[in-house]
Amino acid sequence: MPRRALLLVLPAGALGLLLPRLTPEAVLLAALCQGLFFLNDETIVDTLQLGQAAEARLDALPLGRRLQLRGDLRALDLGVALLIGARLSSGARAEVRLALQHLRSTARAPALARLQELCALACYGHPNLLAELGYAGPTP
Amino acid sequence: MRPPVRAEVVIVGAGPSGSTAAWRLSRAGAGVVILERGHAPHALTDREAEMLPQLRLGGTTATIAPGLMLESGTGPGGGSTMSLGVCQRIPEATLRRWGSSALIKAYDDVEALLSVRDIPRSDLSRLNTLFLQGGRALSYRMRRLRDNRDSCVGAGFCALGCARQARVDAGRLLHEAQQHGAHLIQGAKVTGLQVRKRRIQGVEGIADGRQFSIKADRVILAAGAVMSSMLATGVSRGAGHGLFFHPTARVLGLFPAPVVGWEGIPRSVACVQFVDDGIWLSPSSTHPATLAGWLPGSTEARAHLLGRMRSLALCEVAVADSAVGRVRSHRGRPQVDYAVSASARAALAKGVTEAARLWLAAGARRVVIPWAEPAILNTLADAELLRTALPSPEDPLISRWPGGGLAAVSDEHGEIDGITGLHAADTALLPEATAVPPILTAYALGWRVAGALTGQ
Repeated sequence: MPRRALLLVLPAGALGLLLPRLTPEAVLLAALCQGLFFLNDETIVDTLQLGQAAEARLDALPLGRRLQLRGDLRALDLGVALLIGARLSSGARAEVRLALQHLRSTARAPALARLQELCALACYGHPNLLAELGYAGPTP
Repeated sequence: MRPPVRAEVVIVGAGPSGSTAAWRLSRAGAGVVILERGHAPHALTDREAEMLPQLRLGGTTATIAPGLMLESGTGPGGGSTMSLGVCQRIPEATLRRWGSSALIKAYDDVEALLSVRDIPRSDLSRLNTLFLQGGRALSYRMRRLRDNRDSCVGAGFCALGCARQARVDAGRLLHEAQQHGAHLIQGAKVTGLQVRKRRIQGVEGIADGRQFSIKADRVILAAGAVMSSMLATGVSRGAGHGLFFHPTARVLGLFPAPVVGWEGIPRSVACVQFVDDGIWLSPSSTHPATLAGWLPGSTEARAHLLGRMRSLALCEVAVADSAVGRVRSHRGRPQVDYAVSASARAALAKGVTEAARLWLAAGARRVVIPWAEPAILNTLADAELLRTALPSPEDPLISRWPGGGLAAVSDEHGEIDGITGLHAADTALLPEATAVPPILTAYALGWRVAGALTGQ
């Protein structure tokens, strides 16, 4: 199922977990960069043109600000992927929350990396996806 | 198993150095108790999502230094369980400069113990063959490596714990030590050292949610440079200083034909052209979740690249950083104060450039540098632009091969700060970074310190 369609059925509470951690500008850019626009918590409109405009706007920012926003984009993207991509255990959910909490701290880069790692482990363990990648997986 | 109340020797940590020390001491008749905070995996399944959380201590441990991540093994076997099996010595000239010539004999002994061999040419995977070809095309000095495999079938899951137990590693030494009477206590976290009148009295900790205390005349710290140093800070003011790392970056080559970088021995060659500059280049395996775990960009961008993962080849660039850090204990957890130095960032830029050149010379169609702002290169001329592109603080650099932290307060037998009976036996004893994978050195240090305790 396309991710955008899945986003439509995301409960408001799930987004609520992610959005308060990010700046409003980052949320807007995140939505735009992925061709998504949040009209409210439950409705999303696909606008590729807006996404391209957002990318151009992002590229015009100073490097430091751009890196920070890209980090926020990744966090949002990863968090959403995690929440929709796999049924997480309570332990994994706790780790997601911890990583999100650290996004505003000096341990920001490791927190982002941890979030991405959690996402990858959750998403890339599915046999169908691995077969699609041509990954043989465990061998006798 | 509950820890006993008394032991002749307590070893903290069941990784390469602790297991080697346990092996030697138990053979010499000493009563050894090994305390390991982790547990053995339920089963070795070759599956990333199942194995990595069991083999790594706390996943990725965040530090107070932005942009740096630490990886540590946990459970019996420690880091050796998830290592790629590379067994390299620190050059003799470096050891002599340190005044550590005794380690040369220890290397001889542990290489025999671990059945260390030259990796045969016939065992080179497609990934390693391409790496070798790229280096030779540039006339770089390339080296076939040595390892401790004795019944390898080339499955390629070394970093997920070898389900076939095809290497003579710390896990096997531990098993043999237990057969000679050593007691291994899993799930036992040591929280403090007991010292009285400059003499070790024992250790205390928590196991199964209950506090324990073991009296011992000898305590060997073998929990890795970060953890051993942190534990020693409780009894030695000088402990915890001089910690060093090897910040590591990655370079991906996208080839026109399949590489299948997860099959075969992941790392059997290295480029040693730049070792004198503190730069080590070597290929590494690309399993999907691990790869997706550090590729930059959105989920969709990663999926796009992962769709081509059969044709991806990975090179890791590790650099010896001259900057030293410090580890302290914060509520029983290590708090590392360390920032990658400017010279290490420059070395990383150089190493990344050379790795990109190497993949392009080997026939890669494109090279991807997964910085926070990814760089995509198509030609050798493109690669030259990287030389001045230093990694930014936002780039997620993995720190590999930690060392130091106790070098300045230990004597030649690893005794810490003149405290009778308290020894370190791991890479915490090393004075500086060397750009050489340290696992064989960890075995050798465990061997040497155990030898000193038994008068051998």
